[in-house]
Amino acid sequence: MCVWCERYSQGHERWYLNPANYARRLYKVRKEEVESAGAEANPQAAGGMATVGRDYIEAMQANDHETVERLRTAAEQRSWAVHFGQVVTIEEIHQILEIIYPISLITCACRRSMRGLPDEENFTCVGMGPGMYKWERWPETYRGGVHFLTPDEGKEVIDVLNRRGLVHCMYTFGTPYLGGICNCDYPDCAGIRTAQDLGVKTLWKGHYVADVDSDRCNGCALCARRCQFDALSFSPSTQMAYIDPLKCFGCGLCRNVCKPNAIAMVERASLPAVAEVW
Amino acid sequence: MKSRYRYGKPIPDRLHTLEDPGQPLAFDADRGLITEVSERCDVKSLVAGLKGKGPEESEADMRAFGQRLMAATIELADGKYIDRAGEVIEKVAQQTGIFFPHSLQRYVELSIIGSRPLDRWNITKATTKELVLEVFSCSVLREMREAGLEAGELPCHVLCLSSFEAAAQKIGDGVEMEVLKSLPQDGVCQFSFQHA
Repeated sequence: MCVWCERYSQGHERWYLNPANYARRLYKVRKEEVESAGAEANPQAAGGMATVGRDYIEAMQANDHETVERLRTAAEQRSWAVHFGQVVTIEEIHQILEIIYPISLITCACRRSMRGLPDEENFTCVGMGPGMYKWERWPETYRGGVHFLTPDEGKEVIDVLNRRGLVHCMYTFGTPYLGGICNCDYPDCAGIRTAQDLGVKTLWKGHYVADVDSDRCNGCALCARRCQFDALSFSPSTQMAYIDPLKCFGCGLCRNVCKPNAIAMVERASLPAVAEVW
Repeated sequence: MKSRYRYGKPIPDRLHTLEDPGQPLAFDADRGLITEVSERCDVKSLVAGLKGKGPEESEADMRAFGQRLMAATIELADGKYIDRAGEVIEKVAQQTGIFFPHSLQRYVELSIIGSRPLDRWNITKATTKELVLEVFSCSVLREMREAGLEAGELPCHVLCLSSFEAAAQKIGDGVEMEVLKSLPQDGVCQFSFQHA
């Protein structure tokens, strides 16, 4: 069980399966001044994962470990309080889509900045919860517009994104409130990039670890290109896939393309070596 | 229902875009709504009128107050003080066919904000199957205590229930209600609304 489950699951199997973490009031009393579209900043979403700056990179390059540690700790504390993610499997996403509403398909802020994708090719992100009724408040964050979906339509969209090879991550917007399902890949996704390249844990590993059954692996290597976390390698000599459990984020993308069902998702908690590796 | 989604592309006929870019939009509860609802449904006057009345008569007064409160809220929230959040909730509900929980939640929240703006409360569950409202600090109960009326003998949640029932009728979507916890004994009033 991760620390977020300990704090916020309230008896549910996972903290992101607890409906309380998606519930929020619709209304507060209106301020006196005129409310204008775009006037209220939403830096959590608009700024993506900009949790560390140039000073961090420079300290890394200079091997200034003390500064790196100080800045990393500060960035992580800030991120965990406000905006961080955790990887989930497609089965979990389907469960989540049954307890959240509204569900909206929006453009991805990370791919917009990383790839410069035009809005009409960039509808790969899912926003959810009552805040989405007020999306017009932050027109830059929700550039390109918003689609509202039924839970079944949401599942169809997620299935398309999963087939494409994107990792599903639950993101907080003021922890523990969960407001987004990001569908990520490396290097487009700032969350994965910040975690992988900079060692800042803005994205937590999921509750599962992928495990290969060598007796079933047929060496097709279809799984090898699905991993976004550098956890999966393919041995030319044994003609088999190998998954490093310490690196695996438990997204299940490799498992989903394995035709002989040689890859299984195992509970992280059941593996002592990685039970506390998040 | 098929979404007709193709990777990365907008879904035909489903995209909401800014209707009037740069135009100020008001999402929160209008202060005018609070003033008018408070004037029409004054909690202090209700409680003052309960003095000397027996439980049955008090309950009837509370029930009538709750119904009046929600009628005023709906009239003002959908008319003179319509807000953008309400418009979008309705638009989304029309498009997805899913009215629960937010059409109901809207009226419930505005009725509380309108009549008891200083109460402390929260929504702790809002799925398409169940809505849960928790009230931690309630001015009806406070007024009753100050007036020397015992809450145990006067079940004030009748007021809330009759009000919420009126909202559920307006939504017309098969909603069942339950009081799971009550102030002051449980430290919170917890209302559960289940969608059939």
